[in-house]
Amino acid sequence: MAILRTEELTYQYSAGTPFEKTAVDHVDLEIEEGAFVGVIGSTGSGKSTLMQHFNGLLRPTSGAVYLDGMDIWADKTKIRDVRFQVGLVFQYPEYQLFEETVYRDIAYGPKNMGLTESEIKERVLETAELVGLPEELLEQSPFALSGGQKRRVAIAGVMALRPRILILDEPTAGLDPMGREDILGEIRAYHKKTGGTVLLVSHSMEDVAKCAEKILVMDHGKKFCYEDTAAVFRRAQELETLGLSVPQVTRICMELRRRGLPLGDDIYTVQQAARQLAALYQGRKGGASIC
Amino acid sequence: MNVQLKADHVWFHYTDEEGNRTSEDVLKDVSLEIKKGSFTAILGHNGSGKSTLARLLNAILVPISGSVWVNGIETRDEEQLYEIRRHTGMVFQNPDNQIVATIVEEDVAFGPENLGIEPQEIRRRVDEALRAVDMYEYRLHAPSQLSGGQKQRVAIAGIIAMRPDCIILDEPTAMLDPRGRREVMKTIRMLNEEHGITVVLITHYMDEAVQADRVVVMDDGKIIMDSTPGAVFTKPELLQAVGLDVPQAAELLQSLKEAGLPVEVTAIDEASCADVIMNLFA
Repeated sequence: MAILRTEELTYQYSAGTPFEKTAVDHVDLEIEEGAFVGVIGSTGSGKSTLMQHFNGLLRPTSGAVYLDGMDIWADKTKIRDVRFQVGLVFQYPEYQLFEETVYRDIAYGPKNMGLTESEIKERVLETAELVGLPEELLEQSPFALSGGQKRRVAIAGVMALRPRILILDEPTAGLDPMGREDILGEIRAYHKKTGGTVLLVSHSMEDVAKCAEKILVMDHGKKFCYEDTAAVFRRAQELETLGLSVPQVTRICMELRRRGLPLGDDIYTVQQAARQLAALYQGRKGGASIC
Repeated sequence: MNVQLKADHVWFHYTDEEGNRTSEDVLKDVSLEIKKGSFTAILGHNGSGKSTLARLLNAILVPISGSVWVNGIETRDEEQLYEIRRHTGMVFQNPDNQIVATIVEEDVAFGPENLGIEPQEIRRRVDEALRAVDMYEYRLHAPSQLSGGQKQRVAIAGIIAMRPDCIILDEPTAMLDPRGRREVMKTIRMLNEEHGITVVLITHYMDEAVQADRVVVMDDGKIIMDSTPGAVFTKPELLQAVGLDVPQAAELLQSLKEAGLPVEVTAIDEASCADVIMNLFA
């Protein structure tokens, strides 16, 4: 059953001014409960604007957003509740840390939800562990931490809400390869542990390929497609015309297919490619050596 | 004089206002010479010392011991700072921290205005710089209305308009999408190839480092590799050991080798990787 649905969702920035721009253009979408969805699109494709509608930060110019079948704007006084159910981690969330200790920063959201002290404590400890923050850091100032750890604290602050939908906008931006792997691993662990719906907005096709079951591709404010990961990468050439680069290994396999190797057209990780090529090699050379 | 930038046995750690040490050694006896007109990528993970090195090369920081020379001027000479900065532009990771004006073209004009250039010439340079980064149509927009990638291109235009002979870019594409990254990289290559500007690109993206003439790999405050991209990126184990990515082409060949197939890791781009694999099946 769809947890989130949009209907003809449209949003215009600066409507009525010379800078008027349609950022989201008649988007119909259904996100299944518990899915891990990658959201990709080039700069200006409307993906961040779309995400900000899901927790009611932006109100559609026209169209609607349904959470569990309810129009989130049907009752304006309920919008606060929507924000607890749909947690949004912004780009560079570490700039939003403000509390004196890591513990208090992570506890801020749960506290505002009105949880008891013991519930809050449980949430904070559990979430800190999930994102790999050692307990001894909890009483430190978040500002004394390294960049990667600051980002973990900020992400944990939203995860601690246990939102039904967790949206992360470029959570790995600016991190080096190791930091990227760590954060993605922690998001995967969160998804596995909580079973919640996760939307991961990313520029990195490689990151999305590693995590997502389904991919939403946005282009010029419109939904370009919303399909299973393999099906999306099968459209590699179309994606490139949208300014999105598919993983290098996908391009290598396209080239090998063009040169006559019978590889699948849905390869998007190095492991998949190595497995198919090794099997193909064994099949051919193994057969030849027996003869 | 063929050397643009030179670091000679540089040691560096951070200090507080009283001069007390506040960090471990960030750079440990780093020596490096960068030739005029070259395109060098400095690759390393966070904390490897690469950004500190960049700041030393632009005299934002000065070494604790050893010396850094820009165009033959030692960076310790504070009276020459203006001269150094005039020749060496720096672009940082976060475009929001380097935009000063409320209109795009005014932001680009800020640098040349400070150099005391004639208004007509400034107009020409600003237009040219904005066209070079493909932001001309946004010249009258407010920077706040631009995306991160667009802002970064404006910041680069601001540097280009000053006509430096060297640009140091500290992870300029970290906040951009693939198209934005391609455009910025194209801009950087154009500055190097067509205008002969010396480029030092600090990055942790190997696909960007591949485009340079020379790749310097840093780890733990030291230079651990210094060679052509082809020589550096065909050593996947070494790079992965210091937390860096390798091109998927090299990673794929490495995986095949580990699976016992008779291949060597010799390719970093798609076409030559496909050649190597087709040879297996020949």
